[in-house]
Amino acid sequence: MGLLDSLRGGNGQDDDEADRRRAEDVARVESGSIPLAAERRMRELAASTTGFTSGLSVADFALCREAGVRPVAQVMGSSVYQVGWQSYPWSTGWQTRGTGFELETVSQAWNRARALALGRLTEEAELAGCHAVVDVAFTGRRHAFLGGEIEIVVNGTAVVLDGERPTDKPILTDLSMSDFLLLRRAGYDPVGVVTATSVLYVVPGYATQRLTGGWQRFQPNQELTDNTEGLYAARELALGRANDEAWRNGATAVVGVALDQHIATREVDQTGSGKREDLIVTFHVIGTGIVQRGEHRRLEPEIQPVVRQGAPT
Amino acid sequence: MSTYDPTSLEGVPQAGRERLEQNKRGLFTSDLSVSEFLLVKEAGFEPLGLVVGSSIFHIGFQQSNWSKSQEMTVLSEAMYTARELAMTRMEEEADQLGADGVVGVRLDIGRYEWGENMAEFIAIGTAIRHRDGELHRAPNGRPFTSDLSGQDFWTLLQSGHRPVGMVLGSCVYHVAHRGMFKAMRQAGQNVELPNFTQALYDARELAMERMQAEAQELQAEGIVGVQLREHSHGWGSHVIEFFAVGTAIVPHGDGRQIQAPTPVLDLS
Repeated sequence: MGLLDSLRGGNGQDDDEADRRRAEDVARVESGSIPLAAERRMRELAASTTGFTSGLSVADFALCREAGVRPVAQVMGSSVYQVGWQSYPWSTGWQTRGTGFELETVSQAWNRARALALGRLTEEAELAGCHAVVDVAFTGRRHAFLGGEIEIVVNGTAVVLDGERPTDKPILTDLSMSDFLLLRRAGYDPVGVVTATSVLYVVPGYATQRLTGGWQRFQPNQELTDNTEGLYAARELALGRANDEAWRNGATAVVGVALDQHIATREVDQTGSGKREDLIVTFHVIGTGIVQRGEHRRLEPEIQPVVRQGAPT
Repeated sequence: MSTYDPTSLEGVPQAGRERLEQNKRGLFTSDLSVSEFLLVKEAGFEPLGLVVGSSIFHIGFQQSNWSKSQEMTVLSEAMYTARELAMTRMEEEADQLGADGVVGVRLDIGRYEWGENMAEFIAIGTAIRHRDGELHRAPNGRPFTSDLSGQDFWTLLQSGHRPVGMVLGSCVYHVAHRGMFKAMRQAGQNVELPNFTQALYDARELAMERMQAEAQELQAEGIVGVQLREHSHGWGSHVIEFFAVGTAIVPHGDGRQIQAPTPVLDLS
């Protein structure tokens, strides 16, 4: 009934009103904020004492009640971002070693779009009046209607910690509820989620080119060192950025790091020597910065090894 | 919402009626795995049979405005009503078996080449009944439904909660096309596209808000296991369905708590 009523009522009937609201929403989004409907939903959830929404699994839900953590709301942030024009570095391809160039526009686009989405998630979380957001997960989407644009959606579950003072700076973490609780039990506090992206353009050197094209590709097993090095460079760049961010936030360690890598190839015509294949390597890093709160506490009771029976859940 | 009649066998073919009769006599069929089956038993329930509801729905037409982000209310309503119909039929089948509820519900959409504007909405789950006849139904008298697995169902009951119903929210949204001049002005720059962001954001919020409204109607304490899905059901790339689904829960049993968890090392 809720849906059908609202379909007949507000939306679409009063076109001027809807247009005005949409324009207002777009203005809010332009200033980096969240749409009005989102703010309303969060305020409602924050005000109610019983209802909550969560993306928590049942096991996590059962666990959090036991540990005095209360879910408040599922929070979200998203941003559709246009990746600007990026020139590919020109290279003769005659050098002996491979070379890597960062595609700065693309890297920046990912990093800024993610910052925008995370900012919106944080805003929702602040409205929900929570202490932390767990299970923060990104989904980068390419909708069919988007060309070169990227959409980043970030989701999480806002939680209140019983017995802690209210805060206006909720802490984000990509850890699951069970990991979050385990970490706190052991005497550590998350300080925030750290993320970074690097996009590297790798031009392989002459030796690697020879091995990937032409009749020489029938040579025995060998490592394509230039490609390996390119991958390494991209990964180190992304991890280094994530580390810097964690350090700035006052974290002494980063846990739960997840790496996501994509490799695309781009064929380049070389005058006189045929084609060569350049790599475009994209690395995304997400993790949670943590600090130690007092002393490391051993887990009680002792850890028990188990062998799982039956079908995996 | 479609009207609910616990005695209705509308649309159930002869073979299906026979199957239900057979289930009533005691033989059960289910798509539960072995662990799920054992845990459902452990929780005090008996599986009764596989219950199904389906509806082939003709989805109407709505002209979208090229340059305007808007909800496609005709399509939203179709997607919602059809799912509701399938769910209601599944609940009615469950009622035929005298079930208290249905667990492991899957909602699928089938599309066929022979019907361009049609879609089949299917709800499948396993009907269960409490052994000692404790009332586990939803406040509106229907059997409860949930997309939780047998394991999750057991855990939930252990933690002093029970599912009351699957809650859905859906919103079909047309995302406005970008004006050519605007696109040209911004060509080659790194910029956020506020119109797209707003449209997709708005659509997701609408779907989630509707799901919440359903949970409120069931007087739920909260919703667990929310999934946000996106589909484009052949309406062109700019028209997208945002679908939120989760299981609404209420407190049950007085302040039951799970035991303090023991950390384990999984060796399998």
